[in-house]
Amino acid sequence: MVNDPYEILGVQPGASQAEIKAAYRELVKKYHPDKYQGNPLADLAEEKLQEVNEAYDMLTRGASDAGPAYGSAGGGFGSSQNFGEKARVYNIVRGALDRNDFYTAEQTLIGVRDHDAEWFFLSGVLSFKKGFVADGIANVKQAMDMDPTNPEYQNIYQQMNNSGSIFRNQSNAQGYNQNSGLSDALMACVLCNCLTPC
Amino acid sequence: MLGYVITDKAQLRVHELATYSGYYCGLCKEIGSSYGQFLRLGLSYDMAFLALILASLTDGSDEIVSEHCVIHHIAKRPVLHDESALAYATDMMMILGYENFLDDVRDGDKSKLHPMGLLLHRAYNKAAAAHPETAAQTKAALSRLCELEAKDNTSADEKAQCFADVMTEVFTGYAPVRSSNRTLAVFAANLGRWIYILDAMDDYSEDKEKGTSNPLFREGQDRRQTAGIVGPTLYHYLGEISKAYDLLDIRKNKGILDNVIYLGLRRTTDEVLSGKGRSKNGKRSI
Repeated sequence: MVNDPYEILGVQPGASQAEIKAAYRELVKKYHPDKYQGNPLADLAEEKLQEVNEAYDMLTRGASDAGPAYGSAGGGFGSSQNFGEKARVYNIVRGALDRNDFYTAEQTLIGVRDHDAEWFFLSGVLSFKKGFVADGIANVKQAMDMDPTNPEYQNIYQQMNNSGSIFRNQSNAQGYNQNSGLSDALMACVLCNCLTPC
Repeated sequence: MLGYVITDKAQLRVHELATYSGYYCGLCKEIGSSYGQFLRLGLSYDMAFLALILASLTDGSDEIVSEHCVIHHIAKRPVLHDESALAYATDMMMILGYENFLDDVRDGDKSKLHPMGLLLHRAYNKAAAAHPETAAQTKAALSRLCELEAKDNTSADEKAQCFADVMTEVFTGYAPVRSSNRTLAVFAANLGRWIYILDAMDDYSEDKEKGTSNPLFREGQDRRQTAGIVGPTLYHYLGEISKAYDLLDIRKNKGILDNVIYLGLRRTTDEVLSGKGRSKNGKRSI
């Protein structure tokens, strides 16, 4: 690998500070730790970001801006206040989920007979943490349907949709057209013209 | 695979379209010369994408020439030559194609003695001899999937994981880009999950009508409600696919790959969710 800072930032040698900064911003967005939180490739993204930071520092040393520092935000999943026996059981599950002790969480949830909103919610979080995304999202959605006013359910559901919304934004930036592209018939016509040597 | 991994053609630039066609036609010609004319009929865009992304991780420019072919014998087409990723993708197509045929036989859709099956079997043996590990792991993952599909009460995620394993094998068996395998594995696994869940969503109404099982059936829910849950799941996979993609060191054809990842996959997703799916009319094929 060449360690040319210009190449790393994808700008021409001799690019202006403004160009360097703009390229740098784009790359920070691309490799941002928040985006890769919980992702198996997080360390690779961090390496890339490190490289980008070093390249940026090299090219802007002496300029007025201080070096950037990006840390990842921790996603805690705290206990809520519940009362009674069921609450006690659910708090065990929450504690186990915080420790990523999936076995205890699963066994404790299996022991609960009455499947209320909280049960679906915690099952959903468990599935999602285990990488069972389809099941996780379905269960948390079910919890939301059963208890539509619970802000925690909404909040976690939104977090589960995080990866998807990052994608949606990137896709929009690439010019995704919501109302579909050209019609098939029109497309076929365009294609013929493209592929026929003129 | 099932023909879901495609470009958003309306958004491709003209030269990108020519390159993309070059890969597609190159793949077709490769099948013809390595495995015989008849197996060209199993050609799909998914494998053209496989060749495209694997080749994009290596240096060297694409050698595209205008040629005639059996199917398009009047106008010449752009065809890519001398790309080892094309040969690799062709082998993978034969492995997946034969597995798909076996699946059809198990489902009773085709006879074991179907002439295509005999051709595919011979092609499979040749491809599997060239990639014994990939062929064996693919077979193992698909038989795990079969077992799960035969049982009740298994989650869609577990089944999707089997397909993720298949895709991981297919995307990480290409020697020249081995250094990217870790990222490719994550990319492929999420693509596999996306394909599996998407296909189940695509088949939802048909399976309901015929009374066949579908991993997405949930009690008391109709298609619209299911799509409401499956949507975020599919977008999650798309997010994970794009994150892995962002970490790949793409050396060429980035515009086409961006188009597939950010526009094509999303277009397919939205169409399937809204019920305007692709496998509605035709029989699916790997």
